Amino acid sequence: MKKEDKKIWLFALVLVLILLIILVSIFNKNASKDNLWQDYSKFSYADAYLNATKVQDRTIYWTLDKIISDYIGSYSSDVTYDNIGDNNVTYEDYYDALYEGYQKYLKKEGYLETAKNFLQKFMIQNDVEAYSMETEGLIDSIYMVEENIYLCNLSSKIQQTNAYIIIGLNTDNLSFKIMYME
Amino acid sequence: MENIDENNKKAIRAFLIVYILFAIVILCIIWIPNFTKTTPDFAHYKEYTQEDVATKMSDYYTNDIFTKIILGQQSDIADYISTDYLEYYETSKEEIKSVLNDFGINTKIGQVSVNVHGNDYIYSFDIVDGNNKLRLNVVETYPYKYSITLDDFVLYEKNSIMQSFDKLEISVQEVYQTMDFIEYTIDIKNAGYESLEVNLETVTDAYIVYGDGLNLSLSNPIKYDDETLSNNSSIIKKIKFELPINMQSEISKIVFTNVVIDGTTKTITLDI
Repeated sequence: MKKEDKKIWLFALVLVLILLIILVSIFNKNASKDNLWQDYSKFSYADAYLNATKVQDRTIYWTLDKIISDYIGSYSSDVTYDNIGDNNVTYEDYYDALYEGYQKYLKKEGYLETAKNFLQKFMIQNDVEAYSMETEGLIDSIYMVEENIYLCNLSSKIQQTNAYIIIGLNTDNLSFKIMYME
Repeated sequence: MENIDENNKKAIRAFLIVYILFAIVILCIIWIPNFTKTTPDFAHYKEYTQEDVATKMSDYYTNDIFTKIILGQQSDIADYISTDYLEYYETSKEEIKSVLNDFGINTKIGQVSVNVHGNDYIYSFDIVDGNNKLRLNVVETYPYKYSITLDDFVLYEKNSIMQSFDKLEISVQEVYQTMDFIEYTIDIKNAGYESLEVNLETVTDAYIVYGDGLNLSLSNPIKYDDETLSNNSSIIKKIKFELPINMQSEISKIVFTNVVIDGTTKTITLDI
């Protein structure tokens, strides 16, 4: 092999090493960043709560209140049965608002079951087929789990039950993702 | 030999092409989810401002109280009267209810003023029915969690703090907060000096430090017949500062500038 060829092979080898270093660093970074949200089979509400800090900011409260009341309202029989208008979004549509890891873990069927268990805590049964939803003043307290990720403790005044939901806010494009509910 | 070199070069070129394609694929795997996954419209949220927050609950509380009055549910309002208020004025919910009974279906709600006090929001407004007029303050610790006080009274706290300065003991026994002023009831004890005197004869003898190092002197001087405390004696004084409620949570110190201990004048700073 010529000296020039050796140099090229060496150069190629260095490139491979650089690529490997970049890949390893990217995966390590993602692993440490999303530690809590990496494996939903091991996820628990208590883990998220462990290092969370209480949030008193009213602007955060109302942002989350609106997201949650819209979501719960999407389960109302007005929306889920015959009166679906152009602007109405059903709770099934919220599958697309799940955090990728949570979506991957639940899959569509799992989501529908989890969502029903969660949403039915806020049902106000009017008759067998018609029901409305309790949407006002549900948030008891809010905790920040990580930057822009909030755990909301909810309570139903009517059914006297508690529920939890974790919502991640993307402050760049003002979008949210549901990261957990129970 | 030339053929081998040529083959080598081809192999290297092929390797570099594969390498670049591989790198592109890896980058695509990393970035594609962000390109292909669009956020649905309904998964966007509105950012609220402090003004939005204030008006949102102003409407809720005024509507709620107005509805209860015209429906004759005055006892529901009386149930929310703060225990601090009842304790301070030694009154009962029943008495408050009888006051509220003067207001009926012709009641009008006045303009709402909103003040922030630490984590609390205070919504104040008048209710008026003919010649009857009453100021209500909804003290909200968290949205939908609140108590109600009447007139200027906002908050009342007992036995807040106690601090010692060598043989001088000062304890704040009560803090009475209104929309316009804050009043401390302080207990000053001489715990070992021959003589101790905390003078408050001029307004500059005591001041509070609040906000970013701002000072505010006493609202009025206080004169007692005998201010000198002998060993093991104490005196209770009420000191008042005219500071609006939205700044009262920013008070960090009370400073006494004219404290005479065994003939020497000293300044004593009480951390709040």
